[in-house]
Formats: sequence, C-alpha cells, structure tokens
Amino acid sequence: MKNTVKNILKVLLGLFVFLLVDYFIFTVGQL
Amino acid sequence: MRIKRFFQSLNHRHYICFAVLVASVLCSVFVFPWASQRLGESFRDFGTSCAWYYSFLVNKTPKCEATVTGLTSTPLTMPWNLPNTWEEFKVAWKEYWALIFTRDNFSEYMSHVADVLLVICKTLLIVMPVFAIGIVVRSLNADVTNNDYNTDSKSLTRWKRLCGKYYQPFKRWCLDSVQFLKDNSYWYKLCLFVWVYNFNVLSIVVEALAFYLYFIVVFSFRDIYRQIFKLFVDLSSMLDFIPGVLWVCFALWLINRIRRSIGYKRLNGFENKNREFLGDRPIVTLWCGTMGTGKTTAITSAGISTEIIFRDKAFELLLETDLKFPFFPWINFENELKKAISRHSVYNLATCRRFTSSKAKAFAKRPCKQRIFMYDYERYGLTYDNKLEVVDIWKALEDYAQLYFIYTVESSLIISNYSVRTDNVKMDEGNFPLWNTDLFEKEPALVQAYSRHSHILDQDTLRLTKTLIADNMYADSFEFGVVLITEIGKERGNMLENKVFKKSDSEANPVNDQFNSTLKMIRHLGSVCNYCFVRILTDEQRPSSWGADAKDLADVVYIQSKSATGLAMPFFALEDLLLSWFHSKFSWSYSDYRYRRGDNTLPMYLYHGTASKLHSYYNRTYNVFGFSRWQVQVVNGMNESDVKTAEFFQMVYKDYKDRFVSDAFSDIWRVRSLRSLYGIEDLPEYQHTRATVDEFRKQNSYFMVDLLSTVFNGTDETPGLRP
Repeated sequence: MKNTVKNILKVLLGLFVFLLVDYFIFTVGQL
Repeated sequence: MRIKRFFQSLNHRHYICFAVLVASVLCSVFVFPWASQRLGESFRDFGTSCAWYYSFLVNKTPKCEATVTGLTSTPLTMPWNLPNTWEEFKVAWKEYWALIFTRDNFSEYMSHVADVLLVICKTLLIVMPVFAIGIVVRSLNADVTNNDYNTDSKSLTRWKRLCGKYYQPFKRWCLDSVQFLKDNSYWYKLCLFVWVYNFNVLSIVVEALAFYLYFIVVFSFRDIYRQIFKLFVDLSSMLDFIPGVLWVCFALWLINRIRRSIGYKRLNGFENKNREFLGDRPIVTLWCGTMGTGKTTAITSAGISTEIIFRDKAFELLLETDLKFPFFPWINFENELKKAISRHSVYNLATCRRFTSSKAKAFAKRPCKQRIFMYDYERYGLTYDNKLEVVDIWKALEDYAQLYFIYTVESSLIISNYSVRTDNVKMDEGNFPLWNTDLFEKEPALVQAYSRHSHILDQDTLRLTKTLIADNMYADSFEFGVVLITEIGKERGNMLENKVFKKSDSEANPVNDQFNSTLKMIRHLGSVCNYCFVRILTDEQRPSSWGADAKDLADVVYIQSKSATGLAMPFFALEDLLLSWFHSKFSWSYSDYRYRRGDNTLPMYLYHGTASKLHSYYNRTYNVFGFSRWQVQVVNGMNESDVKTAEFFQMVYKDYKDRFVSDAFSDIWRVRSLRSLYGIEDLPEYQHTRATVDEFRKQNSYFMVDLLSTVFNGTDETPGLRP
C-alpha cells in the first residue's frame, strides 16, 4: 500500500513535469 | 545454367534485402533529392575551413572565404520557424518569455490539452464495448462448473489451429530473418549507409568538423547559433519523413535505455559502497542476526565482493611492481612462470618464491641477459630506491610472481563450507590476462560458460596442530583466499559447549586443534607486498555462540533492519502500478476459474498468457534492478563499546543469481526425512481445543514427563514415558 501511494505520487509528478515541458514547447509554436 | 542454379539456391531473404536496398536508393533520388547537394556543400565548407585553419597555423591571411557560417542553397527549411540569426533569436527569446506567462497562451494550451483528452475519450468509447462484451461473457459463464480435465473448448481449438497455421510460421520466419541479417550483416549496413545519407547525417558530421576547424581560428561563440540552426535544417528531412508513431516508439526505446543505464550505474554505486565497507573490516568478520535476516546472503555477497577486491588489488600491486623496473621484459617472466604453473612446479605462493629464488641463484652464479629474462640489466640497473629501502630486482620478481599467481588463478578464490557460484571472466589473448568482474551487465552466455563454484573448505587446513584426518594431504594447502563459514558457532562451539573436550585428547577437537592460532597468525601466511590476501567471513545467530577468544579477533556485524525491495531503475512507477493492478485482478479471476472449471477456454487462455508475459516482465525487472538497504551495526570484538552504524546493500541480481541456496544443508535433512515412514497427514491431531492427558503424553516433552509424574506420583497412570 505504501509503495502504491508512492508510485501514484511519482506518476503524478511525472505527468506534471511532462505537461510543463509540453507547455514550454507549445509556446514556441505560438511565437 | 550455373548462374541460374546459383540464383535458385540463394535464400529468398537476399531478394527481399536487395529490394529494400533498391527502394532506399530510389528514395535517395526521388524523396531526398537535396541530400547530395547538402553533402557537396558540407565538403565545400570543410575545404574552406581547412584552408582557414592552415592559414591560422602558418600565420597568414586566408585567401578564401569561410563558407561554414553560410546558409544552404537547398529548399530545406527550418522546422518550428526558429529565427535565422542570433540577433533574431535574441528578439524571439524576449517575446517567448513575455508570451509564456500570459493568460491567452495558457488558455490556448488548455484547449490543446482538451483536444488531446477528447481523442483519448473517443478511443476509450470505441474500446469500451469490447470490454463490455468480455464482462457479459464472463457473467454468463460465472456459474459454469465442470471437471472436463484439460479439454480445449471449440473456440480455443480453432484459435490454436489458426496460430499454428499463420502466427507460428510468421514468428519463425521473423526469427530466422533476424539470424539471416546477423549472418549477412552487409545488407543492413548498406541500407543503414543509404539512410544515413538520405537523412543528411553524413553532412551533419562533415559540417561539425568544418565548424570545429573554423571555430579554432575565429573563436566566436555567436557563430554557434548558426550551426544549431543549420543542424535543425539538416534534420528537417528526417523529422518530416519519419511518422509520429515511430518517433514515439523511438522515444520509449530511448527512455528505456536511459533508465536501464541509470539503474546499472546505481547498482554499481551500491557495490562500490559495499566494497568500501568491507575494506574497513579486519581479516575476520562475524555476521549476526536472527533466523532469516540474511546472514548467509550477507557473507556470500561480501565474499563475492572480496574476491573481486583481491583480484583488483593484485592487479594494482602488479602495476606498482612493474613501474619500479619499467624496462624489464615482464612478458618473458610471465611466460616462464606460466610454464611452471602448467607443469605444476608452481602451485602456491611458497613455490612462487622458490621459482624466483632458483632463478636468482642461477643468475648470481653466471650473470647474463639470458638468465634474467633478457633484461638489459647493465643499461637499466638491478635496484630501485623508493626512499624507504633499495629494492633488489629479484625481490621485485618474487612479489610479482606471487601477485601474478593470485591474479591469474582461474578457479574461484572462495573456499567455503557451502557452495557459492562465481562468474568472473578471465580474458586472455596470450599476453597479460584481464578479468571481467562486472556483476550486472555481463552477457548470459559468458556467465554460463565461465561459472565456477567455490572450493570445499577442508577444516583441517585451518587447524594448526591436530587434524581430524591424520596425514590429511590438504592440511597445509591453505595460503590465501576468501573463507566463508556459515554457522561457525555450531562448528567451533563456545567455552561452555567445549568443556567436554580436553587439550590432551588424542583426537582433534575445538580445544586442541589451534584453529584460533591460525586465525591470529594468518596475516603471516597470505601477505604479499604488505597486503593480506586472506579474509574470513562467518555467520552465526549470536556472537556468544562462538568462543570469546576467536570472537575477539573479529568485527561483529549485526544486521539490524532491512528496507523493502526497491528498484535501482527509475521511471518504473506507472508500469509498477498498472502491472500490480492487472496481476491482482488476474489472480482473483484465475483462482475462481481453477476452482470451478477443469477445461480450457479461449478467453482464459489469452488472459493467462498475457498475465504470464506481464508478470514475467515485472519479475525480471525486479530481479535485475531490485535492491534492499540494510542497516548494520559494527561492534569491535575486543572493545564492545566501540559501535558504529553503517549501510550495506543487498542486490538481488548479484546475490541471488544462482549464487547459493539459503537451505545449504538441506540434503542432510532430505535423507533424514526419507528415512521416516510418516508425514504430516499421519501425525495424530487434538480432538478438542482442550488437550487430554493422553494427548499430552504423546508430546514426549520433558516438561510433561515431569508434570505428569509429579501429578500422578509415578503410578501406572503414566505408562510408556521416559524416566
């Protein structure tokens, strides 16, 4: 259970980082 | 006729490869017509850069213009509309940061995210009915119970027939094709070359060299931007041509490569920390912990690491000795020594010393080059001054011979009272051998071919005076190595247990065999160049189980706690979650299916196969990258107030890759159990929760014998009990 919570947090963090990077790349296209 | 027969005998894959190659070349002409022009331009840039570089070296003004900073004349364009020049880039950079934190841009991005979510939702809606059908089929079959053992359903029989007809031959053909490409590697090399050309990779490499030469001359950082710009222009043909799905596959493959490499780096880091920990320990170490804490795992792991430490140390000292006499022909000396080892006239450290001393005597009698391995001693000298002592070459050769012997021993350096497998690979091209001591990334074929098992520990070799076997031929054989003794207390006993033995006994016993003296003197036995090549690693549940005299020599390492098995490889959380979820779902439905049915159906066949593949992927990942962090407490055997805490890493792949078995003595118990005619089903059971006197009698317990004889005062009520 402890590992599951840890893994969920890791996945959420990964998703956040992915969206952030995607946002930066998206903005390049908006210039 | 002969030519026709030749073509007929050719493997059909040659024709396929030829067709692929022709298609690739046609792509060069029709799809990538600018590749040749770009290659020409890059060679022109390289030529002008060379001219600039030469002019710079001879301090002259270059006669031509450097073209490397110019743009291509091909119609290739910059992807993503990046600015052409550094000045334009600076303006765009400011605009970028002004735009990124605006509400409009963020809203635009959110609508873009919403579009992606819409696609995902639509896909889910399309896929959902398939799952719904599965759920309906399962609920319809929920009550089916049968005993049709191993009978395939009609749909499964049909599926297996289809697979046998199409899938299996296709899979075989693919595997054969992979082998074909390995055997005829020129086909894929040719194709690779054509595509490297098509995608302007050759131009990129030549342009990079051209810019390097130009940069040395002008040293202008501003021009680097132009090169990045040109790089993206060259890559544009590849970016446009390869479809998005392939890019996603490539990205996933790359992420997998990166995370595996990080995982291996972390495992090697843990191993280095373990070696540092072992380096700080004395010659004898006693690992303690309760049953099942992993004491034997710990000494096995430590033994494997110590063996590698010994090989590395021997190599380091060999190099040090070599540097004392850099012009000595060491290869001649090694070859002579190798011959002596193969003749078995050199087989331990003492015979290594005898070998060099006999050579030294022969040289002293009549000094000449032939008697000192063709060393030009008149030119380079026979001594080396290290400011501590003047080392004679024969002393250096004596050390070198012993170190070379330790370094090149092909069998394991581990001597143990249970079996341990090692798989260090000795690479030898007939010159100086090298050891591949990598623990994690060695090819499985190498591991299989080079596996060796530890030597059987004859305890007489560690007894200084009396031995269990009179005239034991191995009694004096121990000189160096890593000795692993599990359950040392049971072998040696402590003072209370050894009270029954006397020093004057004619037979060897733990009191008169001088085992402890061997441990105390062992440094004198296996030291070369002041480094002791002996370690004794033992384990026992409690340190007091081993006699205090021996325990005082050792560091006692208590295993205090172990973390849950973690993964050294990062970015596995999503797979971990999904695979664990899938496995829990499968194990529930599979156990229910096994309970109710004895036949095989298509849905369960597919479900079972998928679950097995996924579970094996999950298990393999944890078996390769799994590790556990142990907290250990190190207590000095002589001074129990000297306590240190440390970390020790247990790595699944290193420690459990068929290294040893935790039930090392199980064969003895197997024979004992086979002697019995009864098993657990034959043992009598209690009739109620309150045991009867008869049932107590059946326990044959000392306590019960005492209690019952007291209660019944030794009357007939307690027949058959032991006095």
